Amino acid sequence: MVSAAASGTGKRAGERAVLATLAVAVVLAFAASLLVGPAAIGLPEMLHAIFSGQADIAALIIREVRLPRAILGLMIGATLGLSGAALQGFLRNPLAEPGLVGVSASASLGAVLTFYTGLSGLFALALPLGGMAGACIGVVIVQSLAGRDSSPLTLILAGIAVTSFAGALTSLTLNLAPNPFAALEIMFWLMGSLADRSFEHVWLSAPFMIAGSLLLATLGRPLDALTLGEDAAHTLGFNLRALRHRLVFGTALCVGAGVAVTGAIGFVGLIVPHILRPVVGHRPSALLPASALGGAVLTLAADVAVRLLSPGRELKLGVLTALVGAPFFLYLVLRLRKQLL
Amino acid sequence: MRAVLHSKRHRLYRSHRFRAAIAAIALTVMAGGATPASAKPQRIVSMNVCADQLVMLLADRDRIASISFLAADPYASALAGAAVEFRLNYGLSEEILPMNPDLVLASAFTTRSTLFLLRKLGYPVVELPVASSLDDIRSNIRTVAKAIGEEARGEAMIAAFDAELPRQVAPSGPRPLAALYWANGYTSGIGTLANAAVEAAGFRTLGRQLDLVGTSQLPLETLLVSNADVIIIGQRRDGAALANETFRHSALREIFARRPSIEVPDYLWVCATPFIAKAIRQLAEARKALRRSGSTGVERIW
Repeated sequence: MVSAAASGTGKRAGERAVLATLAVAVVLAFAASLLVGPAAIGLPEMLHAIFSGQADIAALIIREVRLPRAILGLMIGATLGLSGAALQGFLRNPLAEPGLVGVSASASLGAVLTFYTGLSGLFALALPLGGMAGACIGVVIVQSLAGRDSSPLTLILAGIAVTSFAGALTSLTLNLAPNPFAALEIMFWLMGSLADRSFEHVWLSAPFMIAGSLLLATLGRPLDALTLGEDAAHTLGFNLRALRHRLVFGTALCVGAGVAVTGAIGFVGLIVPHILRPVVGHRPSALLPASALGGAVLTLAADVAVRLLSPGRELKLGVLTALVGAPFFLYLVLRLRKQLL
Repeated sequence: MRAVLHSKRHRLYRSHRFRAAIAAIALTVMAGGATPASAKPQRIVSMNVCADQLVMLLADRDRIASISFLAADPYASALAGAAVEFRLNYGLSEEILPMNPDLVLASAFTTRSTLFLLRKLGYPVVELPVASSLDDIRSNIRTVAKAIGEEARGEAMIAAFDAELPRQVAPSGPRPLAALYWANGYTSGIGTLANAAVEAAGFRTLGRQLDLVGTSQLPLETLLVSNADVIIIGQRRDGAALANETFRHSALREIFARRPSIEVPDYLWVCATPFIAKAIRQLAEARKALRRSGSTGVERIW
């Protein structure tokens, strides 16, 4: 984790303290996610349900409803934070976020098409599988559009092109939906939610998210070098084209798998690196692990808030992250303006 | 791992009970008695407004553990008044699991992940397809009746439904052209219950004439040039919605001033329930009145 060789020991100790604090926060948020829900289950009952192996309803809810939900929240939040930090580091653009490489939109499109064709009704995992197929196609198109060039600009443009085209096709699908019920179902799914996901969703998405995270976790040092500029990084022996490939595939694996099971959850990948940058410093190798933990905390906390704010009729997680994220982003813009003045 | 083990055990438990139920049925069959109450689902949970209404009509009240919150929405449900006495659910598995249902009724558009979870945990889930014809209503009634073990009541309901339908839809004589026009400029075309009901009442429909399939948008201009004899509109909901703006369009107001219109509440035909017979009957009455007077103005069907 602490790969930075250049920094002083005091700074490293500070980093370690931040990571430890974030790790504790992840554990607390995870526990809260297990504790909160429409079925009132107290802490003793919860612990009993986890460790006793009995088959009562409380155990069923904890193990089969809340545990997969909390695990998915943890994984999706962590991968969103991680890929957001990596993308902001590579593109050296504060607006970069995981949706930028076009994978979120194409995964959404793939999932929505399974709704539209009725596949999602035929077998239960058609929806996430469709999302993953969409993500794969999206990433192949982005990679071929961006070409062999290593420049961030072509990647951004290719990502925007794929995102807007996939978004247009998603709207077209909504437009052609056979009946209002189908359109509503698609709309609700697009808002992003962790509600009632099961362990099958975890098993389906976890391998991809873990592979993607491992790929992104190795990018710390090359991204550190890149802060000195492309030429400097090149001189230091880092192949920028290989870096971009790893970045795009890592993000695609993480975000594609995430969107496929939960729908798009916005703003986490964008704001978490911004929140943590003043705390851990601007070195990507330090920001990557911190952002992964921070993303997990934010997503788990938001998913708990969704259940507390409107019991029974849950708000959609994606709606809440956007509600919290957008004003925060505004605050960042205002602060940046103040600094510039 | 623990979770997997657990769910297996849960299934085992359920299948054990299932075997007991089978044995009970076998015993009564041998004894020549009727199916005992214990073999029928006793804790029915419905997660869909259409299934809600059918189960409220077919099952004894004490066998229904919960129905969906939409059942209490007076715009969507014909039984909204009675629904408030039931425990309402919002379709989340955490609400449904503590009720330990022995039957879950859902629709083809109930959240997939919730149904998947319930099925995986061994709860019997019956999905009702979206009805697109009057025959689908009969088949949905049969599906629910069979699932809850009230086949006789189901057949009685179908017989009553068929009896309430207008006997002879005058095939001769003029069949006025009806334009169905909903909020947001939607119309119901071929393969929708509303279209089937209006046709069963002896009208031709603009959706059929234009070959529109399903619920689709009807451009205002198309409606204006259609020369429809009557416009059938939905009941307007309270509460501001851009959707209702369509009805304030001056061109549409002009049409309403010149043509008769019939207002039909959504709850009569949004679901495959026998209540649609009432809508058909009253639409047929309205059609006769239309031919007599050629009047304008809004007629309400409640």
